[in-house]
Amino acid sequence: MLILCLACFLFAPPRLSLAATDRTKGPVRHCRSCHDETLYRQDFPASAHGKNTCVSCHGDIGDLRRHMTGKSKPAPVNCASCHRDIASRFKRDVHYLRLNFQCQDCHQDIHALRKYEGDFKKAVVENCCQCHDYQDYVLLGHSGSLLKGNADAASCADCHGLHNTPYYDPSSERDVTAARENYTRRCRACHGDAKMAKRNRFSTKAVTSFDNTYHGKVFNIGYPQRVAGCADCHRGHNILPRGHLMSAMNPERMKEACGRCHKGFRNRFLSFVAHPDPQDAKRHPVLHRTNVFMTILLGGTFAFFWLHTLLWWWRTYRDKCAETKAGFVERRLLPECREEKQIQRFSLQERVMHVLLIFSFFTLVMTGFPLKYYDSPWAKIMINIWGGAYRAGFFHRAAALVLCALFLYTLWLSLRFLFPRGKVQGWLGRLFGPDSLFPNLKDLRAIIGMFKWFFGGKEMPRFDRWTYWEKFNFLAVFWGMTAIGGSGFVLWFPEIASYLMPGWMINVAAVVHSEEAFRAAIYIFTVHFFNNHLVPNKFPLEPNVFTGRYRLEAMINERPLEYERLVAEGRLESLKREGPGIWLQMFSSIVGLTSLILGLILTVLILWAALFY
Amino acid sequence: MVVMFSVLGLGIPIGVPAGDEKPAFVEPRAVVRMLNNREKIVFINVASSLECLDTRIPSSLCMECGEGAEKERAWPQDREAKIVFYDGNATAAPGCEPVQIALTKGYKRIYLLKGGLTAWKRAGYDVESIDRIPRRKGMAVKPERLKHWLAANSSAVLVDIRRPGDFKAGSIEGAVNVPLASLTRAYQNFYRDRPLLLIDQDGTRSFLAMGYLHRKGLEKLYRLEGGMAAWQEWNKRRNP
Repeated sequence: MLILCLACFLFAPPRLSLAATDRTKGPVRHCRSCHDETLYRQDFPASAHGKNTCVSCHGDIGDLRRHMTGKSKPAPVNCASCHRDIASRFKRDVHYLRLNFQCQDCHQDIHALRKYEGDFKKAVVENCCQCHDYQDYVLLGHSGSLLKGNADAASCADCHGLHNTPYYDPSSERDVTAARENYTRRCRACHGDAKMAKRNRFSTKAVTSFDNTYHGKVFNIGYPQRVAGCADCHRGHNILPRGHLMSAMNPERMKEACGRCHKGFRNRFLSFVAHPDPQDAKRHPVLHRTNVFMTILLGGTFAFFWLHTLLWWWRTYRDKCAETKAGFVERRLLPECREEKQIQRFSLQERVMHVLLIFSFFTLVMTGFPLKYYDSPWAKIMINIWGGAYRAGFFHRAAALVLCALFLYTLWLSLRFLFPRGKVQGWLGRLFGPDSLFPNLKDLRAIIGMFKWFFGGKEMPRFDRWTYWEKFNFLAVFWGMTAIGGSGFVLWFPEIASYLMPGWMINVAAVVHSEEAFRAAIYIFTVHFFNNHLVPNKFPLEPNVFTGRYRLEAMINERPLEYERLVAEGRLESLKREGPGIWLQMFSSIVGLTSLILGLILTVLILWAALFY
Repeated sequence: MVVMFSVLGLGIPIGVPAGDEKPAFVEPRAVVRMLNNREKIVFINVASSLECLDTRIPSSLCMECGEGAEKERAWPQDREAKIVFYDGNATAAPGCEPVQIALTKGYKRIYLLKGGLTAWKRAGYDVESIDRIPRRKGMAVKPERLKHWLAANSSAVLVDIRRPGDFKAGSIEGAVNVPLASLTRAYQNFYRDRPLLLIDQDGTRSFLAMGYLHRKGLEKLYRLEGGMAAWQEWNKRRNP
């Protein structure tokens, strides 16, 4: 029996089991009896994997005799059995997807692999550059710093990832977009990091200034499909000073960089500043001055009109309280006031124009401001309601065209008013006459009178057909349309604009468009809304711009000079109309109140974004 | 006629050949859905045999473009079986011989896998290797530096491993065409002491060729980074 056991022990084929080998070094001795090279004898025990045995990785060698005679070959090592995370990431790596690389293709010296004790980033660069062109990396602006030992400088893996280098199919728009998002995010991670910027003495303005351009805003609001990310202009591996011939930003190569997206521009287009800083008077003097001018204009407009509005509200509210206290309910000064007839103020054409103006203005605000305040919480929601940045852009431009058409038509009407049937004679009289919307000396006196009234004067100034704030509203549209419309067309057709002006004017146009839009929106939603609807004696809505007519009493109170003029000219009777029907009243209430509420909500959102984002 | 529709509203287009005249394009996910429904599918890899044995969808047939007729026995008997053709990094060309043979043989349901093996792997599905060629680290030469490289390596041989049709359509001056499919025979004629620059279409197949040649004992191996596509792009930029 003993002899039998001994024979079995000596001659039975040895079998290696993974469970056993993990706990014992015994099987290693079996392996070394054949694999006795220095690599396995000395290097492997000292390597990163040295604590493992041979069968930890080559676990499929079940039958040693078949292995030794070459009848069975070990299967490829499955590194994923230990390095599960890396293996799962590597399944999405371009080297696996496109080239079918496996772990051992890069880690070829696996039996002698030691934990790298030097600069890890340098090691990454060295490893990548065994296949990829080293010159490519050396040319990259980051390389010099990294090779000098700066741990902040980017290695290949910082931009492309390690074991998860993504694959992007250049023929797929989705992949191109994903690549743009990924690489821009990676650039921003360092170039927008204030601490890293301080350590390495560079400015994070490259990121913030990009964010304030059209490219940056559309990108950040979540639609990077058709705007430039960092690598679209700077390319991948030649991020060098502008003066360097290999730099994508070299003036000689800028045309190529811009031309990848923009077609048919003149060379002066290239002076467009992709990272503008309106605060920097030295680098961008015109842009800086434009910004200062727009800020002063904004401050001046609101300083005057908000004060005007507050004082007006305060005075009207005080009067109203006093009247209520005195038991006064409603004034009925003249017998005519009791009549149901109303006075025609706006024609049907003017009312239709105003409704179109409301729709186009709201569309412009609701499609433009989410982009202006792309980082505010409501911006993304609002842009998605429109169906994305590009669809919002379409509506923005369509509304702009409606507004332009209205503006041109108003211009035509104004000319026809000044020169009726081509008659030039007396145009000055018409220009400064009571039916004109052009300001005159009476308006100056009215402003002074109004302020006197705010501060305790007995009577409000007496107005004719148009008050000075209505004239301001009208003329402001002329300035606004020139500023916003003109700059809008430059931004809409930047390539065509380059035939007329240098590229940096696009930056100027962007500042003008943005600042003037802010001024217009806030002016309309606060000053105009208050003057015409929210003032206590009109609250909550003055519907005459929709119904076209208003009560005689209101006319006598608000525009006594016009009333007296019409009576003197004997025209009052011809302007009397029936009161508006129920449908017109409903329409005016719905459109008017909706616009008011929407405008006030937008004011809150815009001011919130302007103050906190 | 090809009818395109989406399955379960997921926006995954599946091509269903309604007639028998044209193969339909199919996404990897749709193929896997067919497999899950236990439908009979035959995968045919139309890349070179080197590539097919290196990596393929499990249980695929290897039938590279240019052959097919000689593998008469390999074709499935069932004419109703679904046949999915795929290439390495791209969709198999409809004009590829095995696809044309399948059409003439009267197979009713012929599909071309969109994006080829890369798309299959990208969708997260498994592959198998029958005879994997270990890749080799090797220096790449960028198109813009090729001229300088050739000046420094005057004895270098440019080996274009693309298919003959692609080679005829345009090649680098002085390059010789040794398609990847014939590399297994042609490598014996290569000079072992002269540098070899491998040129492929997009810089991916040259890695495999390099690994194979290295296995056969060749040492001075280089690749053209980005392949002919990068070379053409660079030329276009230089001479717009």
